[in-house]
Amino acid sequence: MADNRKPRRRVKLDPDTALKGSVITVKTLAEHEMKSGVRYVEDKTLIYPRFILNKLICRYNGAEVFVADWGSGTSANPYLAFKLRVDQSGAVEIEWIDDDGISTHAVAELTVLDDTG
Amino acid sequence: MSRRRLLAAVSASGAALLIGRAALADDVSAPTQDFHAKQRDIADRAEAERIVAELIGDRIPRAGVVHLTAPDLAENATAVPFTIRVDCAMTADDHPVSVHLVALENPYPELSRFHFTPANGEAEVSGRCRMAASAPLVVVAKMSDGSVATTEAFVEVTGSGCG
Repeated sequence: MADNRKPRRRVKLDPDTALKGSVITVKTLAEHEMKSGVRYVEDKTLIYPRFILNKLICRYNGAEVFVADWGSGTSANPYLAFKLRVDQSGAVEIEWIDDDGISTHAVAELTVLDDTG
Repeated sequence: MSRRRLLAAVSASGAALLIGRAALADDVSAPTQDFHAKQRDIADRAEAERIVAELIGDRIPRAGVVHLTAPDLAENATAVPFTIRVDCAMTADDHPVSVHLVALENPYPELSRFHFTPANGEAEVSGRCRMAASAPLVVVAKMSDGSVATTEAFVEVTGSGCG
């Protein structure tokens, strides 16, 4: 069943190899329906409850560097891009948390070059 | 059984199913807006303006610090692209602690909050949001030195993106 398929989570670093001290862009994309909680059937006897990803956390080598709290007005399959200053090679991990408290993750590897290459 | 079919079965008793899983989830620590307070489907402009006023507080907002890029006319109200940039040094005492994006005509006006740290290097974020009706998008940035900066842009949408 489609419901049981593992939802896609993507994180891309642009660029993924950078000079120490430079600022890169982290692009994230999650596959999610993002039910806004304002939809209802015509006679309003049933309102489809909100079910969204309500939090995105970015960790760079384990340290929390960026958090986004999403409300009801976030698009389906939410895309988010933000900046990151790099100082050492390692992992950029993104965690998405949904309204059930279930976490999903995606990790990207980052290579940082110093002045000597 | 799909979620939708399950819900339809639950509501077959005729009672309005107002308490969804959202109401059961942990409350967002929100001084401004309780996302789960109730199921809403009608926008309340006064409530939205109250949220913005509460974010600003009694401080005088700085202009020209926050820059919002959003289309004048959005083709797709379910995915309105926006880019928020805050001009600052990104040091411990000069960076945006939280950036709030508010659409004044949405049932849940506060769309999202972004929390930056100096490790970001630049305070810039872009994403996509839903808009229920043509309305100003307001950005309120709370800086780490206690000041507040705002900007807004009017976005016209063709149809509703929330229903």
